[in-house]
Amino acid sequence: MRPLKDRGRPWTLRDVGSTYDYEKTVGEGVYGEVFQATEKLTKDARALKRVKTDNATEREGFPITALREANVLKRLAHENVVTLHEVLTDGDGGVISSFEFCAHDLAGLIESPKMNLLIKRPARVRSLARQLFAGIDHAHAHGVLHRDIKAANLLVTKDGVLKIADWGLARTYESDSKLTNRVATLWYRAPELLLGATRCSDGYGPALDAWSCGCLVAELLRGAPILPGNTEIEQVDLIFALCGSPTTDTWPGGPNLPLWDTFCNVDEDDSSVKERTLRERFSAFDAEALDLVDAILQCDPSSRLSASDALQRPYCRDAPRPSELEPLDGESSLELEVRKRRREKKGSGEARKS
Amino acid sequence: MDDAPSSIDGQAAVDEEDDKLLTEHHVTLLPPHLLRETPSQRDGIAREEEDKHRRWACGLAQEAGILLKLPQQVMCTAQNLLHRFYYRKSLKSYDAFVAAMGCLFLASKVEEKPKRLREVLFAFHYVYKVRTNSTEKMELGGAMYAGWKESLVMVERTILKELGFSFYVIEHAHRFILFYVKLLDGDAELAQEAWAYCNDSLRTDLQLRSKAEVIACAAVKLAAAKLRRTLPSLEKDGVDWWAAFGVDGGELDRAAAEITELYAASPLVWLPSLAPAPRLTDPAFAAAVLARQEAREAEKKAAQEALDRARAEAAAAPPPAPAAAAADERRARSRSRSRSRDRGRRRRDRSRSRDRHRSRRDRRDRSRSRDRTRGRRR
Repeated sequence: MRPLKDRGRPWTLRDVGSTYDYEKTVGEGVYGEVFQATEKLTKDARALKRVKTDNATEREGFPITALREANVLKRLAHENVVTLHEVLTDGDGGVISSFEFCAHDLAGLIESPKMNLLIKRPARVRSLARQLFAGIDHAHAHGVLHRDIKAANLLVTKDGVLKIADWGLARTYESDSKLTNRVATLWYRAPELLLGATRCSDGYGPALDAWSCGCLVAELLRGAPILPGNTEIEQVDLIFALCGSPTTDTWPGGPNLPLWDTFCNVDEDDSSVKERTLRERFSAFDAEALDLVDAILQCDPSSRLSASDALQRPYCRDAPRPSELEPLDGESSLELEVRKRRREKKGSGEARKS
Repeated sequence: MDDAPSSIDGQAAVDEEDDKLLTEHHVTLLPPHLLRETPSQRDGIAREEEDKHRRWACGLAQEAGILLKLPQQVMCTAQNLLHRFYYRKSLKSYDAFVAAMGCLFLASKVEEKPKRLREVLFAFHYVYKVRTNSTEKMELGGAMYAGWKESLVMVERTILKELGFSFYVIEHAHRFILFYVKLLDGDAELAQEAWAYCNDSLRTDLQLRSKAEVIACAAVKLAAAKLRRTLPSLEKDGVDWWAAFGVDGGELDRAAAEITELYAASPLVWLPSLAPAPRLTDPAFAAAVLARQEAREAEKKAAQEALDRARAEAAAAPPPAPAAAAADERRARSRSRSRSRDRGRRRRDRSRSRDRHRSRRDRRDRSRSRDRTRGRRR
């Protein structure tokens, strides 16, 4: 078990104003805000996430997402899982989680014109892929599902170490209780979720994270999202066009899913039955990468490659360590900042036009 | 899962690193030196009196939990939290009724069966009404509601703080009951009875001193005695069945005696709070909370109006340079911000609409870049 904090009384909901110096806001979204800050005593750089409390309806006390995140991250200790140092409060009754600070997130790196080149190098992608699977495998080994793997939730330090962040949707999966299928960002949502799986017996489990990881690795290799659906129906169509329409042969457990009949129950000779085109579409990938992506992007969760198996595949096994690659120096590429910069650039461009 | 409950081994080390240990999430047993004297005892409250309050608070949590149709797991966790909480804080500082509310509310989240804050409040208010024959009505937005809500939110935080966010993976004795009964060839009736003893055992702090296995064995033994069943010995050579589960006979008997003791005590309907004011039942406290809340709302409203006014002025003014308008608005915003402490909502609304724009633009950008890559491939 990881030592929680080496100094003072740990985890005692200290007041943020008296323990940290605010630097700047580095992220905003529906979840809340993220600030960069410095610990007053140790001068450590931290990312402070202020969880949004639902003021609109009624304050529900301590936010359950912050509880989950604290619970999950207290169990996990891994190089590729972000470290939660403590939970704090502010004067307004807000709840703030203090994480280790990372200079980049993957979404920002992809969008940043300068960093994009560094990120696209095959050795870098390979290293990131291995780290992603290593972190997720650690979580799965501890009975935790992340449920929202996407580029914006993957932080990268300037040394190129990937850290899986944002565990507010994470759940433990010991019991066969009903869980929601409305998780994960649409583009990275696994087919069993789209077909309505809500229980372990439906295939709801670690495989859903593996799917998201597979999508992400393919996206890094290809340079663009592979399954950018706008609606759930379109998303299913895109998946089937890539992976082939599932049948009871390729996905024996499929017919138990609530929406199987809606999407998959078609006549054998129907023209809407799609062939698997994955290998052709990703023929530009090198053989080892293609082998990995092909094994992960399987509609049937039970035949999908798990994160721990993915680590054994040559693509991940022989991936370079972050220290063997050049550091990701330069300006911070957190998604918000990249967008801000781009917006400013665009704004000035439009001004010139008019 | 590698989260086995820890034993009371290594006491010397425990004494030294009490805080550190307490905050590690897998610890469900408290170190003995902490069990020796509770904060309430240090405040001059007799141990018997404290036990009464603990027992009463557990009863409240159980009752409210049933009203809320929560599974037993939640009530077990709530009672566990409650006992641990009173090893950190005194009854002189935290009223047992409020602590029971806080523990049940928090436990419902911990066990992923969250209940709305207002549901918890109304359930406890019902329990309060029935037990005190009170006719007071609690209305949403009323003074009483405001006072109760504030107490609940405050106590929830205090619990989190005191337990150092260590409340998960609580190993309940219930987990072992079915397993043991099955191994002992017991029937459903025996399991049911043992389960009930297990539930009752939560009202004592036994769970913080004895391993879940011990409590489970004690419950099975008590249940078998009550139903006049003879339990088979698992092994032929005269080994007691509990020994086969790794449970010490003496420890088991002590646990069983403690559970039995519960039934000798008379039922507790209502205990007056040991904490000085503010009290839940104090109308002055409720009124003060409500007044504070209304002042906050008024402040918020004033800030919003100021912002609207600034915006309207900016719109009415002859078209200024866009940068200047933005700066104006920013100024207005910071002005109103300094006036308002509770500004979250407005900002959120704005950022939400911004998010929407942003995501639309993103999609456009992404599809553009897709087109570009496709073009290149061709």
